[in-house]
Amino acid sequence: MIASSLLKEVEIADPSRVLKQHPHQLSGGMKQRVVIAMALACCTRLLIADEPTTSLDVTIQAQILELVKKLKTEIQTSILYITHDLAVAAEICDRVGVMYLGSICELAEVAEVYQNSLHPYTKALMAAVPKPGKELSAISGFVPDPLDLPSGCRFHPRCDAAKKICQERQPALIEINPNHFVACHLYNGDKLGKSS
Amino acid sequence: MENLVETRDLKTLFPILRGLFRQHVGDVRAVDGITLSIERRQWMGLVGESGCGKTTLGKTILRLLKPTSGHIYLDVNLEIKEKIDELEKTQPNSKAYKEIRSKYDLATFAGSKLKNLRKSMQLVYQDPFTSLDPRMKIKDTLLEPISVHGLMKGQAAKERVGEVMEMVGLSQKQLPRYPHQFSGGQRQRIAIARALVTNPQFVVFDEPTSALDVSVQAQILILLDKLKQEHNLTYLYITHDLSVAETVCDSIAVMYLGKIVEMGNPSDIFKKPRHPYSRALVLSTPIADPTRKRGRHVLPGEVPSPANPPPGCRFHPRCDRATDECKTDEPPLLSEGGLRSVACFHPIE
Ligand SMILES: Nc1ncnc2c1ncn2[C@@H]1O[C@H](COP(=O)(O)OP(=O)(O)O)[C@@H](O)[C@H]1O
Ligand code: SF4
Ligand SMILES: [Mg+2]
Repeated sequence: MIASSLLKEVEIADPSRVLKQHPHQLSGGMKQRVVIAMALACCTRLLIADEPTTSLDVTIQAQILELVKKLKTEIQTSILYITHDLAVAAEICDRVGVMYLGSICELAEVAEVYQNSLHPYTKALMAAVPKPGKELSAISGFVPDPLDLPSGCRFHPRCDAAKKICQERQPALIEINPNHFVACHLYNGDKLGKSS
Repeated sequence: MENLVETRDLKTLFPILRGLFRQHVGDVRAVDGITLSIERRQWMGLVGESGCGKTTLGKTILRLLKPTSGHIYLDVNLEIKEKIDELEKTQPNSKAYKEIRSKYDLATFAGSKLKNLRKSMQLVYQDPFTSLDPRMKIKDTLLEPISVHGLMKGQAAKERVGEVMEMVGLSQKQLPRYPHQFSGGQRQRIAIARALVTNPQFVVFDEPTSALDVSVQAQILILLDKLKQEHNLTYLYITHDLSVAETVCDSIAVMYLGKIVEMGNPSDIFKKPRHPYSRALVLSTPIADPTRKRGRHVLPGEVPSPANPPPGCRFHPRCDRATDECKTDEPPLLSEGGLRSVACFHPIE
């Protein structure tokens, strides 16, 4: 039976029992496995996972992350993994795109994003991640109301490096280094981006 | 260092009642024999997965819940605590034992004594969206504890409210506003201001940043550290986020199914966990550094129900070091000197 082999694929120990159960009888981790199995049922080429482990405990999250990694190599599906957890992204992604208020501000290989971040927002995010022995630093100000977006670069009201042009024009996402894209006037050179 | 807060063999069980006659068929053993000391001015982290009893322990220490048994002390000197222990052993039914406990042991407090206690110990909840009354102006939210405890009146009360607003990085001008006019991070600041307005000695934070983004979380953690220094506060900080605990806490207690399995300073717990469960937690926690991929150690299975904890060591069904002894006997939490204690028959070397 296909259903039960799919459940095996997502490492559910007792597929025939689980198939007879209702969702509310399953734990959070089990439910997430079943959902992944459903997504794989139709030979998925792109799996979009929207915060799949956010409500799970770390040991269960670790089980699911291992499963996602395994599936990625075995079934050769591409995954768009949406998360607000920088540690999870560092752990499982090959490339990372950082979003701020509706647009991508930086996109690169995972190591590049974490070790050589260029966009001021990405840099500030990395500094806000708790790491032992490191002084925490916070981004000043608050995320603006999405109904009342700032002009120009949406990050400019909170950006230490903002220049005049940042208030006027939204910077375009440009490949600064091979495979490393940044949307920031500090790096844009003479490409001005679209006016807003 | 002197202990500000101490619990001894603290238990909080929730009875399970079933059937027509509401028969007592068992208990949820949410907090099941916890002995814990928090030094004055210490920031202690309490970590563990959901359902292990962190909130119940925090609320019981603050006496928002009544313990089933055990002792709770706030700022009580050692001789008295020892005296109570001794009387409990030798004459548990004596009048002397009752009297001394009713004076010092928070577990016995009720009525006005309990109310009095509230100003010295406060709780900040996880969710800044539900912990503030949406119909109350911030000013009134902050004045309420002052008037409940009859601490100050009129102008003095108003000044105190303005003062705590500024302590948490907000402005007095925002006092006439309602909670919905603030962002999540600002609301959490207001909740912190409300906890501090009575000038407490001890504050329990129950996952105060888990609903916030990482950048706002950093702002709150920096604020808490500053407040702790400036006002000589002592914290119990509940979190399921180990990286937060490792970064900000002075000591960490790891809980599993109603028990503390390991305590110690953060670098000990993270670099050399001794209890197999602490190790599993540490290794399961992702780190925001793609070059430092951890040797994965996936813990099998899920946390059993605290209504029916496994016999012996509660962790034994998931433990790769378990022996026969672990299936029948419960390992005691033994001190290894300093802050470190471990409850395991076969701790990791
Ligand atoms: N008021 C209550 N009545 C019955 N069971 C409860 C009550 N509060 C908590 N519990 C149970 O006690 C256990 C511990 O809960 P809690 O202290 O909230 O854990 P944590 O904060 O670590 O997630 C859980 O199994 C929970 O379902
Ligand atoms: S006491 Fe035994 S079962 Fe419990 S954690 Fe230690 S080795 Fe594992
Ligand atoms: Mg809780």
